[in-house]
Amino acid sequence: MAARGRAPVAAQGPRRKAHTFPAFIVVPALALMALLIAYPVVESVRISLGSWDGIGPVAYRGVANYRRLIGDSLVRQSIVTSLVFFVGTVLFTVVIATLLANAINRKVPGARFFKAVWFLPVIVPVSVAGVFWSNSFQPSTGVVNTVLGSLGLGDGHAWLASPTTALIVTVFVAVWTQTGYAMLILLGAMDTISPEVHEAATLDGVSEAGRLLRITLPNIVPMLGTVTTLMSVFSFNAFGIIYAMTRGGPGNATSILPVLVYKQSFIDQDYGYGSATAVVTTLIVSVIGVLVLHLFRQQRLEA
Amino acid sequence: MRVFDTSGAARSAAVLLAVASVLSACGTGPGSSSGDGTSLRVQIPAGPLADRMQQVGKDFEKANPGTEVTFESVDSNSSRGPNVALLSSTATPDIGYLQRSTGVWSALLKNKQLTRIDDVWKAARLADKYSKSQTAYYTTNGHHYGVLYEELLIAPVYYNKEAFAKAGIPDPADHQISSVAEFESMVARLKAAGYQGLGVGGSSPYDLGHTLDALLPTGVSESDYQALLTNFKPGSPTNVKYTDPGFVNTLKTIQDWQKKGVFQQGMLGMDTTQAQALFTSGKLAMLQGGNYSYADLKAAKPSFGMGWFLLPPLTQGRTTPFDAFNGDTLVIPAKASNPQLAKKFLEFFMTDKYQVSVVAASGSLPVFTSIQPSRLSNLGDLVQQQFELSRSVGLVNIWDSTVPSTLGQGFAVPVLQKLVAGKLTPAQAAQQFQTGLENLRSGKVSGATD
Repeated sequence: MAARGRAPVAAQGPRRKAHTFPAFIVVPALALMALLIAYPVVESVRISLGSWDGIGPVAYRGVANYRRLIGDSLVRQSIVTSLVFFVGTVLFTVVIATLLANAINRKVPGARFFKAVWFLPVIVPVSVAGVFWSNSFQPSTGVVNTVLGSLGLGDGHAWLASPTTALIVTVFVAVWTQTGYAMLILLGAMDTISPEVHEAATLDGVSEAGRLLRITLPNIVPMLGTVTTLMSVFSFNAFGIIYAMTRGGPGNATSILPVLVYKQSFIDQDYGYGSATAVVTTLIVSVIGVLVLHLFRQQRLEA
Repeated sequence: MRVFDTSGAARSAAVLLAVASVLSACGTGPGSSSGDGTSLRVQIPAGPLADRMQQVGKDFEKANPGTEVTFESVDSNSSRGPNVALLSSTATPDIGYLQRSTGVWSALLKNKQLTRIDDVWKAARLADKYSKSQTAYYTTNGHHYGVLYEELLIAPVYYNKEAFAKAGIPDPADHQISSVAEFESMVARLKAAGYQGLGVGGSSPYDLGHTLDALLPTGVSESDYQALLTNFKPGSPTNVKYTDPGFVNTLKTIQDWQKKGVFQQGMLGMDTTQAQALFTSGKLAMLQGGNYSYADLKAAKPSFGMGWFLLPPLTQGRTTPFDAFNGDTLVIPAKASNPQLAKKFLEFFMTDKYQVSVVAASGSLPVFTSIQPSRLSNLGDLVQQQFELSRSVGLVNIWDSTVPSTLGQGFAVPVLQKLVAGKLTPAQAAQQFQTGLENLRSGKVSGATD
């Protein structure tokens, strides 16, 4: 009995070691994730359940901040603005990046040069890009209006002064800053497609557009999904470009959710309410991220 | 309402993150918070004052051998909000800078994070040197927690003398325009002469608010104006409302000016710096600024001479007073390492000597009523004139930086932008201000308790 009883114990030694070692490796990573990701998120949720001016204890108020959010027209407006900004930015960024990457992949003349040029906006600091474009869109003195004026289209357009055009301009600048990054990722995916496939399609008389739609795109669906998800997150968090250009104005016309969170937290010193808005923002971004990934997974399966 | 404590680790992490972001924004790091009684860290706003303060530091070190003063600058955006994390942390400088009307002051005071400095006030005789309204503004329950070190004159309108001459407009007598009609007629003539009208940095977080500040004192009666400066406090009389005709008419004037093309083209998309650049380039005939703008305008070396005037009164027969901003404040945070040395520094700094050689020399105005304009030769000609006129036409506290920013600047500017953009009628905008007031009084938004 004793021998039979001891045998499993002896057998468990290496097995336990086999379990212990991976756990030992994983623990530091888990600890870092808990400290740097889980803890701030949990803290944000906790602050969102109270009233806090940035100092001292948080006064617990249950879901009062969330109730206030529901009735706050500024929050509703910011959600709509964020969604418009998101759709505009992601759509244009992904489409333009795909076309640019395809052109470079197909070795258009000067491809290497254009690759560098189109990537340049990515390395320009957001604040610099914001100030540059803010000046460029000024009536009569800005570069954009000067060009339009020379084309006979008038140089007096006050792009950033109108709530409608200000949002369009910020979408344009966000696309300008993000497209190079998306292009580079998509180009990497396109480079993995065997040249023979394209050559065979060319021999079969398939046009450039046909090859893009029937060969290139189906082969890069997973990366398109990744890029779209990344751009979605970037566009929802595009605080820097908006703040540098319009500070969320005129009025609240370009006040996307992170700008509103900043105002609620740091201008109004209402960190509880700001955190509640931040939590809702995170949920919206998460839902959009899951939907985008699901959409592209379906596309991949169908392809 | 239940209260739960933010755990020590949570607070430390939040403070560290906030401090890191603030410090990275202003490019400085915390000095040695040794609490040794000899080293002093003083926070000052970025700008012309920062250079002049170096001399005060050297003088203080000379007068107090063995001490060492280091200055850390804070930018305007940080000082209006994020700076609260630094000033309430153990990494705080010994002397902090804030604006009295912002939530930073309210939050620090409410949470007992400011050192009481009645002894500094007494030693420097500040109650005798400030005006009554300034003393009242800096007195909370009979005690003092900060010193006001400069005064700013808000919203003088600088004009291009060449443009006025070309349009056949004489220099405004006594820096006053008699009526809105006269002002609008001036703009029409300037536009006919090929210039744009009045420049305002409409996208900046304060400039459009200053237009309201400039018009409001003559848009309502004097007693109503005083009520608007204080009626956010719970328990104060509620008979003066933002929906009253005087306030609505003030808003209507601003909206009308947009419709009539009084402001420069694209005003809402232009910040203060861009509006200044348009003015100094000679395309804009007038620019709303402050006494603090003059140094920048001169530095741009415009090809024309400049004059200045105040916006017209909204009530016939009244004279437009000067708006004054009394918010630039130095405080000693409760967690300062060397509070006694900090008090000594404030006493040392808050003297007539430095009001003239540092505050006035950096383009701001002294706060001590005892200092006469004739003593100041370093203000610059136009600012000297403004300072002199402010003594004769009177000063009123600027509305949007006297009421808490949850009703004032932070709240008002976006509402005014919507008004100017035509998204709100004057009555709708006025109702938003009234709702903002009620939210403040009821405690729904913060800021009313200081």
